[in-house]
Amino acid sequence: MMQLGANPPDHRRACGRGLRSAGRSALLEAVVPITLGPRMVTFRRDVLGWAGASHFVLEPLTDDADDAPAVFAALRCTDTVQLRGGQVVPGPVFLVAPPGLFAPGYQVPLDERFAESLDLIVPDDAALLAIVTQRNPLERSTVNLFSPIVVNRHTGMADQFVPASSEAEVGWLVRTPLPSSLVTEDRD
Amino acid sequence: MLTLTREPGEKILVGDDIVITVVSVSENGRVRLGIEAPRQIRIDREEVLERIRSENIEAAAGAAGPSSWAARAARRANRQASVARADPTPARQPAEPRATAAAGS
Repeated sequence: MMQLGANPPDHRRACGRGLRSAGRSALLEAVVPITLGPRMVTFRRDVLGWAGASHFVLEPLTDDADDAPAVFAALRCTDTVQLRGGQVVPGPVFLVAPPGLFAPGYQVPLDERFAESLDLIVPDDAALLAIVTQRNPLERSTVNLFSPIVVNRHTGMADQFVPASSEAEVGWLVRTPLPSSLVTEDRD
Repeated sequence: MLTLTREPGEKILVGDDIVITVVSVSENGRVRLGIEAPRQIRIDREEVLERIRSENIEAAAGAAGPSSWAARAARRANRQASVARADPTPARQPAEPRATAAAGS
């Protein structure tokens, strides 16, 4: 059963209610996750689909001509992983960005159990990262808003949140189409 | 595979600290289960986990590919964020100086 630590249970519940960003401030908040304190991100368990991949480095994709904090980042695995055939290969690299960038007002209802596992006491303890899947053509690219990566911004501990409910019940999709402003403008 | 027959309200014990309770069985065959387990034990629906797993594999393949789109999209998003930061109307100040230094390191 769940054990509450030294922190009052109502703080736990406040976190369980969800991590939100709303309206105009979404993009501002969205900047924060990429400039997390710890740049090393350690997953509590191997990333789903990648056995052996738990240590990552968050590398902001900055523009040399602009010293603004980055919004997109590469989440690069520093472990090697073994494929089913036994072949050892470098770990995966993910393109990530704060979910609020794609869906202003985005929030995810973390359950108490999950929040506790990452030592999240209040919503501000957590940073959210959504994984972008690039496809060809780019218009088919999507972002996973159903199952974001949650990082404890103080410790760098992370886990991919897996809702107990279906996509229909949660309201966010594993394959959410990207806003057209992101995929059409600079197209080759 | 071990198979057990249980009635609603009856429990199954797995090891010392996992308890599975059959909560109800509906007429259309849906079974509601209650599960008590230590917090380090993950409990997931199989089909949900599989969907995320396959997406994670595809996402890494896409990110590793030769695409400059991500960098361009990142630049554009960064510019939008800069414009938003320059706007004096937001209620709260973003991005403390420490964060900017971290991004440039």
